[in-house]
Amino acid sequence: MNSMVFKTGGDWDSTTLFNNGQEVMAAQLFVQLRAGRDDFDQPDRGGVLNGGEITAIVRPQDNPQAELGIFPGRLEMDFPGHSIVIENAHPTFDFPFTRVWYNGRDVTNNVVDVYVDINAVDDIVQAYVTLYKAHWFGSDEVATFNIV
Amino acid sequence: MNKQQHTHSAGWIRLIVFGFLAVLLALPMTGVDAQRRGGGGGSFGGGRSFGGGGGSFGGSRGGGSFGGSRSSGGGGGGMFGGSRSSSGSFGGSTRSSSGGSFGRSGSYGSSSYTRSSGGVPSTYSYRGSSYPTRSYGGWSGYSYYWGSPMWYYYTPFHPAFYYNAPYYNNGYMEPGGFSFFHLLISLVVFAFIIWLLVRLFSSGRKRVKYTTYN
Repeated sequence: MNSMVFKTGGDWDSTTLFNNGQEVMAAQLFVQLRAGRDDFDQPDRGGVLNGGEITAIVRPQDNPQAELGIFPGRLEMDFPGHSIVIENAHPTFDFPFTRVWYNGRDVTNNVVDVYVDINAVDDIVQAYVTLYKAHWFGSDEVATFNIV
Repeated sequence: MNKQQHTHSAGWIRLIVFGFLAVLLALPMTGVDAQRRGGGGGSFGGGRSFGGGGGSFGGSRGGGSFGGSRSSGGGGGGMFGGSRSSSGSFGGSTRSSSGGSFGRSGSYGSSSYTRSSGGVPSTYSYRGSSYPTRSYGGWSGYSYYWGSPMWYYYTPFHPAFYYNAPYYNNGYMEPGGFSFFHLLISLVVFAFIIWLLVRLFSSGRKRVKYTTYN
């Protein structure tokens, strides 16, 4: 089972990726989790319990066309001021067994989107987290936290 | 490709809410339980029927009913019983010397009905003894409902909820006062129900605001 740790200080030189303690020379780290949506694909409460899908791959530098799956396993991503942890230890990578933490807080039941694209080939770096915040009074909130 | 997809609906929450509302609607909304505490019986409150003998509604013997084939009552009790002296109640031709439609005059006799007008019982059992009651009109009579409370008296949907139990005072039972604390509770409950209804029926056009934090 994979246990990947991604860290970045805000530039390419400080960006590293390790798997089970060994550095992975990667061309791209791509993670996209979509959950917490209603029948009309609009954000809704429930997070992972509402169903969804996740894509999590690493493209190695020596063969950028290949896609190496991360899950089942655990992926920690540390950005300046932000941290995301996604875990799915189910042997068949069943989606409801996915758990998500953002900045140390379990957001499994209200996550809407997690998007991380660290692409050294195309020099693209983008990451954000969207959470559904249900309020007892007033409008519910769909909050997007831009990370990088 | 490391990809998984899974979707299922969670509409059972809404089902529970609808069930809860259905139970609330099934609760009695009025406090007119006039027969509960009395002697039981008929529409006019008595545990016994008017008059003594005779059948009712089409007695097979004796005086006629509904159009009276016989004009003068002979033998046994006619319709509505009683000691009528002449014709039947319906279709009769002449009125006897006494009373109204029921062929009886004077005031009612003794009754097993224990509640007087206004929904207040004439006696109230307190610590094993029965005491006469006092009433001050208004809705305070609901205080005496606590003599044998039903479960729904403990809900804000019944007027008895808003009155304290009666208390003993110099040989009489006095109605308990209005409970403002229970009124406060009911306001909270009704506010919650209204909020729930609004939230439930506005779910189709749920307002969601989108925010971005950098």
